[in-house]
Amino acid sequence: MFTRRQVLGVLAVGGLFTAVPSVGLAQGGEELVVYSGRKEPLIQPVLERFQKETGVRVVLKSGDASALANQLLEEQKNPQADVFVANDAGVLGRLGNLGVLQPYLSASIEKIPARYRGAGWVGVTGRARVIMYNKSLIKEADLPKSLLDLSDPKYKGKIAAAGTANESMLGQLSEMRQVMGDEKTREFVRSLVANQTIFLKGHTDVRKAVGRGEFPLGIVNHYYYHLQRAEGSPVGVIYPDQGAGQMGTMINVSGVGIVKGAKHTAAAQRFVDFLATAPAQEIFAQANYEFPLLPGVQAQAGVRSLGDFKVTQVPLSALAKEVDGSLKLANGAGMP
Amino acid sequence: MRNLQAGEPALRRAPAPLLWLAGTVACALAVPLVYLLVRSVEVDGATWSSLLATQLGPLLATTLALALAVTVLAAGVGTGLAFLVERTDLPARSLWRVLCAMPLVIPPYVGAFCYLTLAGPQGLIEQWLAARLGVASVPQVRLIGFPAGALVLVLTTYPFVYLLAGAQLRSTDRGLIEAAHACGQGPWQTFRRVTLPLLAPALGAGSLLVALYAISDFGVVSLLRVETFTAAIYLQLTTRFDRAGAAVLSAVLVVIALGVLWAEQRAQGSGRVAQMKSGWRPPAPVLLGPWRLPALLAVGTVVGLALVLPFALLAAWTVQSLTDRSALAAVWTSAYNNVWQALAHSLASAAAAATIATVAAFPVALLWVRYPSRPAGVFYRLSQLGYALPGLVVALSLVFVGTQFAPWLYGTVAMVLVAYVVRFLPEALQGLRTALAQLSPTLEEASRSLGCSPMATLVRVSFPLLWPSLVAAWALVFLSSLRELPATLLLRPAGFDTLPIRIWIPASESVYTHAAPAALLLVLCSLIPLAFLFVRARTEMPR
Repeated sequence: MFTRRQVLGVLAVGGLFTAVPSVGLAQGGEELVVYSGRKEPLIQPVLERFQKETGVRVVLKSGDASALANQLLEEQKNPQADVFVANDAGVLGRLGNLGVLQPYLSASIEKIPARYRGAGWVGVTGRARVIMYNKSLIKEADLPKSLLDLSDPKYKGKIAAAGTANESMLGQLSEMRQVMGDEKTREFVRSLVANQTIFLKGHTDVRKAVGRGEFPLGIVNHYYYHLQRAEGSPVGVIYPDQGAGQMGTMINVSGVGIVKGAKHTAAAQRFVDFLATAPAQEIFAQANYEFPLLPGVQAQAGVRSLGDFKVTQVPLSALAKEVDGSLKLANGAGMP
Repeated sequence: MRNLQAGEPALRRAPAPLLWLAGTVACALAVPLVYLLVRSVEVDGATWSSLLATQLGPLLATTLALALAVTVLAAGVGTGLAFLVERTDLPARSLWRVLCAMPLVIPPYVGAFCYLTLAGPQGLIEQWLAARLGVASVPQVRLIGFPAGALVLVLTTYPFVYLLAGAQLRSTDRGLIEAAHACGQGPWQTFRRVTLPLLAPALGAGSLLVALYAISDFGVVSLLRVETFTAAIYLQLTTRFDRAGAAVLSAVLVVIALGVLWAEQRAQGSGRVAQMKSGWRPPAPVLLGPWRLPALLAVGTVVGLALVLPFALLAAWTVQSLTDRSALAAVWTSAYNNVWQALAHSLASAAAAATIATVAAFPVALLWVRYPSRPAGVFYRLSQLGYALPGLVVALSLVFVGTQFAPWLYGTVAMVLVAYVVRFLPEALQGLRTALAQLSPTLEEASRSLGCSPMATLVRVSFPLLWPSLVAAWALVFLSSLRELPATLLLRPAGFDTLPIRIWIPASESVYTHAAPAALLLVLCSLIPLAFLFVRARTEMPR
């Protein structure tokens, strides 16, 4: 009895003492606090490489991009993060417009084409909105050629997609609103809902559902198709709206911004520069089949290049102010 | 009231420092909730009405239906098991007695995670069936959503009812049962007319715990996609650039939780049961006869589903994480957020929170038990508020308070600790109150009359006697903090991931091998304080 008491007593006091130093005193050396709205396995290799090359100790907080963006807004008076990595130009642009991010330009960043940069943020990798399909469930002839074809009743019950909790889906709707206006976009969402489209939690669920044959069609970012194919599923991909007079395939970027008031601005700048270099771009391209945005870096074998297909002509910087409107529109039209 | 009874000393005035201490603790605990309510009232009418019109109805229906289903089923399962274990000649009773309580070590969201890997989309069951039938998938066997959420919650929360009902069944006097038999009542009538009424208070208390848990649960409903209030609040928090909707929904949820608390207290007040203590004999076991095998099967099924299966799944996935190179790198040896760091963070923060909560609860309990008065009662109830508050709501209110009044505190570990203390101090408070009430004031008075100062009396007389209760209160808060998920998720600073976070992030990305090791570690860590509490509870129960 006595020993147990003593053990617990020591634990209590010891707990206090271990909690305090692990908070207050960082280990020696430079530090970089990263808020990342990207999937952890995708960002980890890049962070590890950066840490190895620079000796800067990286501290990571992963979460939903929008949730972290909210947190950055709340922390504006006392910023905790140095850089914010997000999976959507809309979220980054939004934070940039609200003054949460500080502008930064350097020789290496200028190598990323200007159309992939915005106020306070720079694009790191590109992704296209595509339709993936299961080859054993749908014939070539029956495939849709345009996103708008998905409103056809013949695809009833055959489509899986991510809901409005997903930033890429919201980004897609924002681009559609820019191209064809609110009314037609609303109609498109309504028809998806009417076609009993299943809205899953995220794109990983969508690609797996299509890969294992639950649904013939899924709306995803292009790398999800490649990830599923690498798992051996019989899947194919459609880059939609490539025909004359069609709007082109939509693209979005993942990107990074330096937080205004960051405690480690120098390390943050080194990190952003690092993401714009060939080694970092290659890691993303190799591990996750994304489009490198730095000209001259090759995409992973089998992945199309950004210049290969017709791209929707909507500037990414236009997405930021559309986020709320797209959310309202989608929710109003029945998309969860 | 008690102090006015004959033979007891006249009403004593509380020492001013104690009053101040207790008042400070109570007010500090109440601030977040009050501020949340203020914020939600400030939200403009348009947001309120659009939320009420579109979301409130379905959310209310789902949340209440889930709470009701889980409470009724958990009460049934818990009472049934307790009766079989305590009152029948079930083979190997003493083993089952422990095993039936053991699912308490499995946090509900870990249960949900195990469920997903087994019966979720492309879980083991579907994979096996699909392979046998030679098809890609068998969506028909997938069970996700409301029934799955209810099942997982029942299997992880029934021990609350089981433990309380078991204690009551064990302590019932044989004489009452024999009297019923003597009056010509059969076994079923005896159960209905004697055993069940005696059980009512224990059942009520256990069911309250289950209902409050079901209302406030965040992990299970999110993983298994049940659209309850907490899931909707989290969606608001993660997808909207505006906290107004989350504040409104949280306020409604708090009202529901307080309603449940109030209803239970009313119900408890109306029916009181008194038992004579002298000449107590343990009740004679009911002979199961031909029902032995079915009874054994029933108990075995529950224990198998709630305890053995999760353990086996976690162990299997953990082994897989050790053999898979990418999982090994990400989970065990990664430079950031590996499970060892998470383990250290979990233990340290839970220990710190437990210590703070126990210390802070003491003056509140002391004031209420030794110097009952109107302010003492108010302080005591205010300190208990956290009991009814879902973790997500505590976190949200701390986000509001922190960013508004203490930006230097926001985004630090201190904020996480505050959340743990607000939520779990009531657990320490209740234990300390009971212990203090059992400690006769005459001992303290004797010490005072022998010339000891109040402080010296506390240190030399009260503390040594209260020590086991203090340790138990500490262990309870430690256990709860160790497995806290939603508040940690929202409030943790970068680099301070705990075990629950290391389960949550991979599990919500459907990377099962990455989530299992942290889950297994968490379950193993929970075993120690739980075993301590269990042993203590058993030695303290009558006979």
